[in-house]
Amino acid sequence: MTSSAWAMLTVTWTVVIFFTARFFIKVLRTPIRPERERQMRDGILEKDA
Amino acid sequence: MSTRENWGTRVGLVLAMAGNAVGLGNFLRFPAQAAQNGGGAFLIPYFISFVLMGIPLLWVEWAIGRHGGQYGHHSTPGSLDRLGSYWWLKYVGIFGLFTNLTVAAYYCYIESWTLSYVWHSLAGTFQRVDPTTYFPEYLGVTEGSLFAVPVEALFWFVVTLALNTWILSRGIARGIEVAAKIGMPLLLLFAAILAIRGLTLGVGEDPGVVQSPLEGLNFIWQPQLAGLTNPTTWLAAAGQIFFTMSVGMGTIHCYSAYLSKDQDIALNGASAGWMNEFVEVILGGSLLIPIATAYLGLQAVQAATAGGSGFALGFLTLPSLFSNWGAFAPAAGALWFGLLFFAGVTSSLAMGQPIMAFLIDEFRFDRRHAAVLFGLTIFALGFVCVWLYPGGAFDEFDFWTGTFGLVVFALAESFIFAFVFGMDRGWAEITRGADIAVPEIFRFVIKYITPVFILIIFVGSLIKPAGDWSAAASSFAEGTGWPLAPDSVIGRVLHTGIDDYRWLTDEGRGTPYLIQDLTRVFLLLVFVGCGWLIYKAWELKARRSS
Repeated sequence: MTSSAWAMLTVTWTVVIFFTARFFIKVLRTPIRPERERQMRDGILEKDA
Repeated sequence: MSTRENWGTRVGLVLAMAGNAVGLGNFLRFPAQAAQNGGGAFLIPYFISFVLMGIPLLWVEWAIGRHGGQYGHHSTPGSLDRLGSYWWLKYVGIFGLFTNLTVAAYYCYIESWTLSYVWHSLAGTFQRVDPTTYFPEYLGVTEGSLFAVPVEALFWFVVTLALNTWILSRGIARGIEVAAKIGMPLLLLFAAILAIRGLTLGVGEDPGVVQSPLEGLNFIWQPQLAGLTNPTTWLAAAGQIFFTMSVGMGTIHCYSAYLSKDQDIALNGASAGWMNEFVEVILGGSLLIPIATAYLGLQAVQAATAGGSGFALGFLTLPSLFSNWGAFAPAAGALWFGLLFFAGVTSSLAMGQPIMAFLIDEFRFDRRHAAVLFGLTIFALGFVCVWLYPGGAFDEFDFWTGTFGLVVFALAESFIFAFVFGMDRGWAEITRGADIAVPEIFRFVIKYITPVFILIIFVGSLIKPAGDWSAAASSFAEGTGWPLAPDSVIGRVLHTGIDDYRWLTDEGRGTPYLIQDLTRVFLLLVFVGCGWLIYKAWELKARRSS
């Protein structure tokens, strides 16, 4: 492989792995907010029921 | 009765969303597109398109979906209806039904090829039979008739469809989420094993290897900077981002609709989007072309990917190349087609759920009956693709629904989100409950840049020229006309490039053009049928509320 191809591959892989790992780790570490069933039901009652 | 389902875990949701985006194109289309459009330089417009169109459109679709879900709607007719007070908004949602039905029909067929090939790889079929002769026979292309039914292909299609229907009938948490949690890690594992083995093949060390696989990697990554000034490269890159994200289908809206009002969509959307990029750029770019280059040489690989697709390499060439791997050959074939199968099934499940949700939400179906009806409908639609594959029905489905339909819907929803729902409400929807800070610049990008990006892809698909865009522009400026490509939308409608266009041969037999035109009429009827279902659903809703 040429040095420019290696450079392109290295930069791209680094960026992709960095953002994929960063966001996925944040997903794993952040707990889900509690569901608000009441608001959903209110929404249904308002227009669709 | 309509009952609200939920995702079991956040990881399950992100994996299911990533699985929706990760498809066969990540492994078969991306490397060929990159190699044919400037190599490493292709990645520059590719990532610009990802940031300015891919990620913003993901957030728009997540936001529309979660917003609609608060009102009990999990499919696009209801989600879009909730974005404004115009009566026609729900009818824009036709695309979210039509596209999923028709794409699922032919996509399940492709998925069935991969499942069948897993079986045949393990059974050693490709060590006895040449895949280049086997595959056309499997599809019924060599039957001598445009109307012969390929029995084995039909059998695997039914098996695949039954599996999809069964998973869908189990619901979001117990069906789709479990499938994603099994399928996605296995896909990554299979791809990693093949990539390590493929990239370490050596000339003189491994039987049959004629060139270093790194030459194939070089073919993909060597930056040809001249490509950056070519509009063809930019359109190819934007198109690849558009299709790899699975936007413009209604699947993201559906999955997101099972979130509650304050649950995050910004981080979830970004995570799923980047996970798709990981699979596409890193794994997809390290498999097909390097392995094929090792055994066939770079010149043959360049010729095989000239059309910007790696389907021929993936299904015709790779199975026979694996036979060089000795005792590992059956397992290698099973790993390759297994990863393609997992990529396919996580996407086809995402296409099924919006249809199920529409039946459950609007017609009060229970989940099992909705799954059965979905399975039967996809069988009926898919049978057209299986049966009339040699005549071109499959390609018509792919072009009008899996390519053009997505762009039309994405264009419509991006304008509706920014200008009907309004950017103030839209931005509040995207950022509410966000677990990451969404940069303010995306407010401007979503309102102006993303719709323009999609508009350019739309116009590009309408008038795609035969050959280079620059050459076509010169031809137009010189007054010699615009050379339309046969695979442009207008070119398809006008049957450009076909000299002997007729429906019947001199012996009175149907031609492929007859089948293609009948398929278009059929698809139009399906589209109108989806519109009629939406009309009936809202009529029923009005009756229930009065």
